[in-house]
Amino acid sequence: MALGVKRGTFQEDAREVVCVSFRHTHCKGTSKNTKDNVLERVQQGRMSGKGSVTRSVRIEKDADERLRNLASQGDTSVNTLVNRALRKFVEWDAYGEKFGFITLPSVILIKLMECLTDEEAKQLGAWAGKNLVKEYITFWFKELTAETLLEGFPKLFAKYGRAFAYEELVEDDRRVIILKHSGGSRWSTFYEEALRTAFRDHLQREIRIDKSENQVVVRLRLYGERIK
Amino acid sequence: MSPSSSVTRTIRIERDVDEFLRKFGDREGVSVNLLVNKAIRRLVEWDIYAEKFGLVALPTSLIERLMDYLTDQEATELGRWVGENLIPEFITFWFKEVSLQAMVVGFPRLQSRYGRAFEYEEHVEGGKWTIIFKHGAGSKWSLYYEALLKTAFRDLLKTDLLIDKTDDQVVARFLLK
Repeated sequence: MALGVKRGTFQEDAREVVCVSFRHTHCKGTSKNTKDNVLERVQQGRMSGKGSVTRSVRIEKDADERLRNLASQGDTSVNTLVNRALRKFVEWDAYGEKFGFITLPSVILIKLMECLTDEEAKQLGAWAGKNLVKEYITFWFKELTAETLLEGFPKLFAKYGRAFAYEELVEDDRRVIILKHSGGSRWSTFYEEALRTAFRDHLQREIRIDKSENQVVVRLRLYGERIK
Repeated sequence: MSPSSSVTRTIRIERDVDEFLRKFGDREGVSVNLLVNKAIRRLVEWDIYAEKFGLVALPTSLIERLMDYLTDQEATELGRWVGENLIPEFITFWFKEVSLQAMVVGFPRLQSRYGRAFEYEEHVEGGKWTIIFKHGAGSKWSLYYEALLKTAFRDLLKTDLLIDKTDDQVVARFLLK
């Protein structure tokens, strides 16, 4: 790997993350601001050597027992499992439940998309790039920039949404990002159009995209010249 | 939470996570302890299996729009296919056996609580069951759930359903002692 080049992947992490639900208890339809420095916190979450605090918590007995079993089966500690659960809550579920996400088997999504024509997949991707990506990024990070878009859409989405595996190459302001989705050519068309539209409409930037049946590769410069 | 049903654990939490939990708990009027417990419960009841089973989370508005492109017949066919193939796999994966309890309580409650595809209600009196899927996603999703439920109940519990559906809700009634 060239000096100064960073690579990242979320496929490994995706098998280990956990989250929390509160829709039936205390989750309020709220306009209160709960998004303080999300980008910073998400980026901190990948840094090693950060500080920690000790907390005593009362855990429901059956849940504790299942946690201990999981830890022992997975050759890890209960503390590690709890931290992964909480990290997912902080980065994803605290916003995801308010934003509105549905979890479905990936095979249903593949079958749904197979019912669309290429043109319809493209049309849906353009709608998502123009509307959904903007809403999603703004909800999480409060502002839409090249950094928050890349952090939120491919990266967090891969880590917690699990719709695709994500790889990135960072070299100065050059980015190469890879979405490996395994969903077939129409999902490639959808992602291509969603990304192209999001970068063009919201950031006035053109991106280069190479797609194959189950993968989309995006190349861009973060601080390149804007489209007039 | 009564003391007898819980245990005390001391855990080390990453500082930024702890800070977020405290602020979030304050804003939402809940304790950090409650947030930690909900995170753990979600892990042990859902996420551990969801990742292995291949579940994917997408925005509700995207899923609803996707279904809008299907014809009524395609929506019905998809529901039938899921009822025949995916539901038995899902129930066996989570509960290790197909039973009445898993079909009408375990599966829909989990899907409702964590999958968030619909709100779920069930009522039983003298073997007469009523289950309700309130999905709020339009008529094609009602067709999908109707076909899914009819197929799964016929194949797995050898039971026919009476379905009463509207655009955003599906009500299934059946007799099972």
